[in-house]
Amino acid sequence: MVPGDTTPHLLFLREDVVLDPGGLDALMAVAEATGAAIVGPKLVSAEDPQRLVDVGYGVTKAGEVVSLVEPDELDQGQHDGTRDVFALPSACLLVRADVFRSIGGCDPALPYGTPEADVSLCWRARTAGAGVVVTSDARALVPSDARPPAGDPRHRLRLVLSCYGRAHRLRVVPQVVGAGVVGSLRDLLTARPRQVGAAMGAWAWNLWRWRSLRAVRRPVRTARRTPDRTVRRLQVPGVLRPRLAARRGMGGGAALGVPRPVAAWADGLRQRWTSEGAVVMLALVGVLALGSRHLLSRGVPTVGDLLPVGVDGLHTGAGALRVLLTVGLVPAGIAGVLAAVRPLGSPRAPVAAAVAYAALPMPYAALAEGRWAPLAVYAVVPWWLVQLGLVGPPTVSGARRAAVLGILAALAATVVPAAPLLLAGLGVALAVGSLLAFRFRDVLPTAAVAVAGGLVGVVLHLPWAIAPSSPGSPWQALRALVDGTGATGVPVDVEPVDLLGFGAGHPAVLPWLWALPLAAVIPLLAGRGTRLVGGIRAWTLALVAWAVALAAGRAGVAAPLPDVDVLLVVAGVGVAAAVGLAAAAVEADLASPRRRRVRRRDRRRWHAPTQARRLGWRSLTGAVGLVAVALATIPLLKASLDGYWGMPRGDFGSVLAFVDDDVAATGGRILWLGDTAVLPLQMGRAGGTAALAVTDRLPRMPDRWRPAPTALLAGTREAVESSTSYATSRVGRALARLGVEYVVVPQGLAPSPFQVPGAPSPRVVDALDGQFDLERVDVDPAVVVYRNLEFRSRPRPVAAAPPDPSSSAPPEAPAVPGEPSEPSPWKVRLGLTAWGAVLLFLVVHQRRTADMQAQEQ
Amino acid sequence: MTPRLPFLAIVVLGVTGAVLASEGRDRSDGTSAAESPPRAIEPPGATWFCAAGGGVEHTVVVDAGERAVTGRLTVVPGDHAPPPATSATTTSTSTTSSTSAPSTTATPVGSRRSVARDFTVAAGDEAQFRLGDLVDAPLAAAVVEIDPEPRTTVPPPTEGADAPPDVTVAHEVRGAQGVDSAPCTTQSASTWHFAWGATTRDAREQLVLFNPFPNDVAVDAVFSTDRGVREPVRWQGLTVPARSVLAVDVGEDVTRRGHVAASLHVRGGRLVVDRLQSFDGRLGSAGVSVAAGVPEAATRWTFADGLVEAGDAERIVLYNPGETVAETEVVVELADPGAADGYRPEPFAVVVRPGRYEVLDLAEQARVPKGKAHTITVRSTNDTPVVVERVTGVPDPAAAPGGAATPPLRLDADSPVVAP
Repeated sequence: MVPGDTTPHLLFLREDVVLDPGGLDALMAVAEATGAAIVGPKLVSAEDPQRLVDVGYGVTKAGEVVSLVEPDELDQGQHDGTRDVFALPSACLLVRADVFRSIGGCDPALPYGTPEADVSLCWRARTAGAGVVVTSDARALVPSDARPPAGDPRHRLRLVLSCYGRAHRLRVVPQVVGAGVVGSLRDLLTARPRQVGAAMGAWAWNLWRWRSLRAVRRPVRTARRTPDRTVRRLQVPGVLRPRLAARRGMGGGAALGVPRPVAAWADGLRQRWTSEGAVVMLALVGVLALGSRHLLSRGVPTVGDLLPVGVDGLHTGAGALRVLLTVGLVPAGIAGVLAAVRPLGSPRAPVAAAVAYAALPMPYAALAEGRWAPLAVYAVVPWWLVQLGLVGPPTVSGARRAAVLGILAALAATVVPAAPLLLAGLGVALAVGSLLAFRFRDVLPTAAVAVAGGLVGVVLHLPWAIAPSSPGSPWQALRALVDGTGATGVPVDVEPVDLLGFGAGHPAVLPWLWALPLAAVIPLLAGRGTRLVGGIRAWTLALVAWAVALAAGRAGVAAPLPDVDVLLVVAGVGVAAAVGLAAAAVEADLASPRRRRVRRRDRRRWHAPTQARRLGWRSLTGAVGLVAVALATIPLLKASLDGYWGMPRGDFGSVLAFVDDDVAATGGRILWLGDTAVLPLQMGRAGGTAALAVTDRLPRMPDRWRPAPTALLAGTREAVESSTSYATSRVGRALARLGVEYVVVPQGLAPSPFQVPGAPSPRVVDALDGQFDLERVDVDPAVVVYRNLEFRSRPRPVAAAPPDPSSSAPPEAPAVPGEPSEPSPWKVRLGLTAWGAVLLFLVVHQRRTADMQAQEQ
Repeated sequence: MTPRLPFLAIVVLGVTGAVLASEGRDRSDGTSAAESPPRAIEPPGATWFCAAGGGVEHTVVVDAGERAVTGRLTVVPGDHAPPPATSATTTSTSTTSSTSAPSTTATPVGSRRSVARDFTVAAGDEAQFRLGDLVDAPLAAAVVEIDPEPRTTVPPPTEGADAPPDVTVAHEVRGAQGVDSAPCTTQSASTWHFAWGATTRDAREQLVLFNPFPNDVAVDAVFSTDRGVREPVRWQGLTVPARSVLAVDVGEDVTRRGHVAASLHVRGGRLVVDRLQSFDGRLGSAGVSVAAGVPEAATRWTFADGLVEAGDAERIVLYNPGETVAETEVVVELADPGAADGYRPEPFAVVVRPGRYEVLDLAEQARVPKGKAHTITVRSTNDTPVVVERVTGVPDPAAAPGGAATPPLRLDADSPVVAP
């Protein structure tokens, strides 16, 4: 500028920018009308004027610049009007000359045209009391590729050091330093040394230019009319990352030169999470870690049917694999819910759904009670819903989805044999939900894909899936469902209201968990479009699961309809998804149309951005949902305190070690009798209610998949029933013929002092106490062990033949030295499942790659 | 039309129905339905236990029903427990003893071994075994196993060739004071109650502890007398070795009491306990009584028959081993009400304090007509279970010592059945 020049306004116009005819007049008019010192036009792409390039900048307290438009954002009038912004790009800018002079002009250290330079100018103008306004009355065409990248840490730091006053600098700079340290640590952990170097270099660069910095500050100090706290209100929240950046596309990882896949991942994360959501998810992870801390550090005790892995020398009872397969299933399920709700596009919906799903008591109760089935179902059902498209139409083909579903079902079937049936039932329930939502075109595909997935799951388990002797095979489960003979559970007095509150068997969670269905009703009341349809489908799933759980609980149908908790997990997925849909509905459907109309009508009026919000249905509903979900997490928080999720601190491993040693030495077997809740394996029932299993060692996970020798089981069952019916006092002799050396009757999940025996089997113990040839071995109050006095050491029987009723002496079972005592189909089965898992990984990876490519295009 | 309203109606109906269904049902008490405890009276099993046999001639009688049966008799020799040490006094609820003594361990049978004998009894016939002929021991108990080979199939409930044999096993004790017989029991249990017993100068009460199982057990006993509750030191942790029988004279610890009710609790296993009660006639009572204990108190008991003649005694003994007061009714119903012009005796209300007993002598009650057969039902009106025994006595001139003018009552005790 020439000294003494009295030009009232200055126009900054880059050489490649074309201002529409009349644009300058419009800018002048707006400047006069609003009194703003800096006025800018709407910048659109010269190549495609329908695309927005810039309508202004925001900035964080740490100097990170945020564009207010998305890359290639379509101009649909959404930014039209005259509005206050923090800063404007200098590509086309009308600046009042007196203000420009008073603040000392542009910062010479910042390259002209960079967002930081533009922000510096506008920021300092704001401190001088000037307004910065963008208007759509003027439009300028700029080349799309001329937009300079933002994010140079040197320039960001220059903004902080030059634009704040001294007092505010003392507050902000330490925060920037702290954020820089955290960011550098993160960059170090993610192997991004360039970013660390850039952060360190930013300080050196600015300190080297200390003199020019003071020169910039001086006029700002002189011209200051607006305190920093007022300016701060106009800034974008956030220190480490601007919260708006995720939605504005500036300052992403790609711009910093980060490798593309990592940058895409990081940008994806930023697009998925709001800062509130990230905090909530971090808190959730913290709670899960808190609740699992002792299990992670000391291992998972062998409780109930949470058996040691024990694969041929890999006896990792307390190992990482076991932790992964038990405790790890909880976050796996939560991740599935996140993925299932993510298609809604709402950043809050997945968080709400995840918190609601994590609040369900079933997985923690399953850990505490040593039941693998609810855990496995908890982990897998959300991923089924991802494939079945609970809240949105799936993007991949039905065949591929059926394959993925089938593999997941096969994996789950290793623990829950009826998983393929469960998948098919879940698909049918969703189809019914589609029907009730009037989405008729989704009915058949949903059911067909789910049924096909179930079939794939069965096929992957062939031939054991249809083998009558296979323990709990889907075929067995189906047959039991049809003829009603496979009921292995015990009727539970299940109350419908307890089911709705997920309190069946877990009274501690009542009434807190009642809050979840309350929040889940919101999409039914307020949802529109996808939210309403998803809500109906989710609720249908929950209602069907509750109804079946009620039937299963009262009928004691355990084999075909696993147990009540498994079905409650399915209901819980539906409710959690509905809670996520509630968050989406509050965001998208409860914004008052009236407000939208007003905004549209007044879009040409200038109005300052306001933080004030009106209390309306949206706020009220959102608050109700938030409170409901928060209340539902109370039992979770309480359960997390002990670090074990309520599991006993020890197991029977050491108490029964002598049994394991003895049967290993003598070739004997162990007969397990007792309540299903505490028995490690269940191969059948005897004596009315007692479950039984026969093993040749302390059970391990592969024993679950061993085919039960029919003759052995039948003989054992008959012997046990003869004792419990008081028909004999010498059951030991009959058991000796079957190779049974020990009879173990657990009375609880863990020995004293870890747990008070909670599942006594008084009738069984009463009957066995009355046997002349069973010697009771006192080891612990929580387990009753009998040594069979009739048993004589012998080679391990091979596929025990059915006992001969006419024989009076214990027959020697044939044995083939050197050969395995039993076939090991579990190895093949495990192998098939592993291959299935690999296939699943490949499919998912391929899908992800395709999605990324599509996104890039 | 949007699906919102129809679906909301479905949800509202479903939730309302669930709430209504829950309110319409009685809440369970929360106890696990996984397995019911064993019943007090088990169905007849294939094994019978005949414990009592101390110092008397002990005969086991196997009575076959309509089918021939095979079985095995195992006779377990036993011994009397040595008398308690002089320092071993008792504790009671009213006065706590300051003395202590080590728990008594019965001497194992040692060199004496059990003897087993297989037998076959023809249909409608019976077999008798004098245990003294099989073992040489101060006392002996017996186990009778019918069809001792373990079954490979559970007997079907239908009658027929595969139905369990209809066998009864009883035992008879014969001594200087008389003879008595009683059915052997098919039960072993960890708790035994006896509502009656006496240790007066003319009486001897022995509890015969039979442990046919392979584990040693320990017994704790508590006795209720007219002077309060007593817990003799000897009876705390009294060990009964595996496969042995031990007779303990109650009078050595609970001396000179006209009524002794007892509760025995077995630690670490089960026992079979019989009571052998005898009177020598010096104080107005005579005879021998053998009876098995009651393994569990109940709220309703029935004696199917009863008759009171002049000079007879029919005493209903109610014993409350629990910790709450039992309010009971003793209902006497005449077998033929028409013969008494429809007369129905008013029930007798009896309150039994915890750990104590009450005796109701029907012979002294005017409302019970003499010479008329009746049934007796004892029921607890406040659901506190009790143990009931009946002691009957008839004059026995032959038992009068020295030809006394008033013949003593020949006493016998029998247990009722648990009424449905």
